Amino acid sequence: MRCYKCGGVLSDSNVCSRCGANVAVYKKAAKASNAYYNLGLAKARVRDLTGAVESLKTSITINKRNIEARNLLGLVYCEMGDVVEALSQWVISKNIQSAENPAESYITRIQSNQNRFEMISNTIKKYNQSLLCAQEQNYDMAVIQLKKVITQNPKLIKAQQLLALLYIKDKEYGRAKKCLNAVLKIDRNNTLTLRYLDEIEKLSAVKDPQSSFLPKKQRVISEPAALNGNDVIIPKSSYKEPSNGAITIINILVGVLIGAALIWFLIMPARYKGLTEDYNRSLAEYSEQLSSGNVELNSLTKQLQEVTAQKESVEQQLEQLNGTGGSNKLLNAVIQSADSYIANNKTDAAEKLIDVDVSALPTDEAKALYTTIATATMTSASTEFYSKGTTDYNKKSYDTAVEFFVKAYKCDKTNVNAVYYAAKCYVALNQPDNAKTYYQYIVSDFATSGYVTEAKSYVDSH
Amino acid sequence: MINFDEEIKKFQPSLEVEEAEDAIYNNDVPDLTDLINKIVDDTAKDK
Repeated sequence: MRCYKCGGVLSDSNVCSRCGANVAVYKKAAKASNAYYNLGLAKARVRDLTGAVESLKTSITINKRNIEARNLLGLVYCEMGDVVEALSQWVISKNIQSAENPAESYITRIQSNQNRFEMISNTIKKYNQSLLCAQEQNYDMAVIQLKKVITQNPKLIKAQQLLALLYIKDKEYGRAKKCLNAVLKIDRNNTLTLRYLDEIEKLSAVKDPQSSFLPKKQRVISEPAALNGNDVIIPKSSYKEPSNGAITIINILVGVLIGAALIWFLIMPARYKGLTEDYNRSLAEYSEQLSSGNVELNSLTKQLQEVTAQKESVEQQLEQLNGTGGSNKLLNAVIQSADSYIANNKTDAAEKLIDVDVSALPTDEAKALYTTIATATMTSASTEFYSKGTTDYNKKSYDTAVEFFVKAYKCDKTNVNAVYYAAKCYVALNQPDNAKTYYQYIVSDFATSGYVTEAKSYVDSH
Repeated sequence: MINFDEEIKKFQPSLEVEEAEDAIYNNDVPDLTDLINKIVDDTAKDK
């Protein structure tokens, strides 16, 4: 024990050896406080929390420095759901004695879980609000609030008691009893709770007025526990496990078959569909690539054709420039014919002009030269060629004869004899197509000649 | 018979967190020991 003035350790003497204060009364008071503390501790051990609170309060009223009593009082308040009251007692205890005080660890433990502490604090606030509502006769709101409070903080005895009182007022004795029984589990000898329960018993008994002279056997009210919003009703199941092993195996096999069927009909089609979609997508891509390739190919082919045509055109132009054909060739023939004519070789000059198309000559001068030479040489050349052809025809040299007859005709388109004998030579040479061509000339250009009948006959027959 | 109105008056509000500080500060009331010592001191002074 320590001196209340200086804190020095006291001896058996009634005077403090340190400060000299008279501690006789203090010692007596301290002993009384401890006695009440012990009483409170005994009650707390058997869960008579209400009784423990009264004893401990008395203990600290006698000696406010009894930290054991304060700490225990805090614990009891905490167990009754009044966490803030508990914290107050521990803070005061810590202020009285800061060293080696379990109150510090109690405070730390409460404050370590801030979420839970906040929730508990809110339940206390809601309880106070509910009390206010009940005092203002707003009973429904009070009941709703209190239900939430006891759900979150079922140890808050005051809330349980207040809710029970409201249920008793509404004659919901079953629900009230449930709340009061919950309180008794926490605080075994709570006077208020016991009184309410007793009242409920009386009120329930009043409902049943039947009575005989013999003392009635106390009937246990087998009222089913009242339901609240948190209760879950589980229907009684009629399922019974099969005891036969064979049925179990059959069940397993059936389950496997059902599973296989599900996979086959549900999962496989989806998988196939996925694969088919992939295939179709790939096919579409390849088709697209092929189409674009074809388009490009067509385009290139067209370009090639255009270039080839241009090349041929350029080659033709080049040919003309180089004099290997075209108008240059004709001019060369006219020039050679002119040379032969100048050399007084009229037959050769005419022969040079046989295959020249005067309309194809590029210049008027060339055309004029052609006309001059042709006028001077063609007729005589035709006669000469016809004569040579007749000579060879008589010698039955039909191949050379036909050449002369053809030249003679070309030099003189009016020489029907040349045409006739050319046809005759082709017939002799067994060239019916050429023969028919020349017979046709007779039919078409020389219809009045004496050869026309024979010509027609040959043409019709071939 | 329970009188609801009388019973409801017996219920006291719980201490809230905001009120805890004031409750702790106002807790420094003299206990029995202080009172008796005061009485003894007053008596000794009178003598």
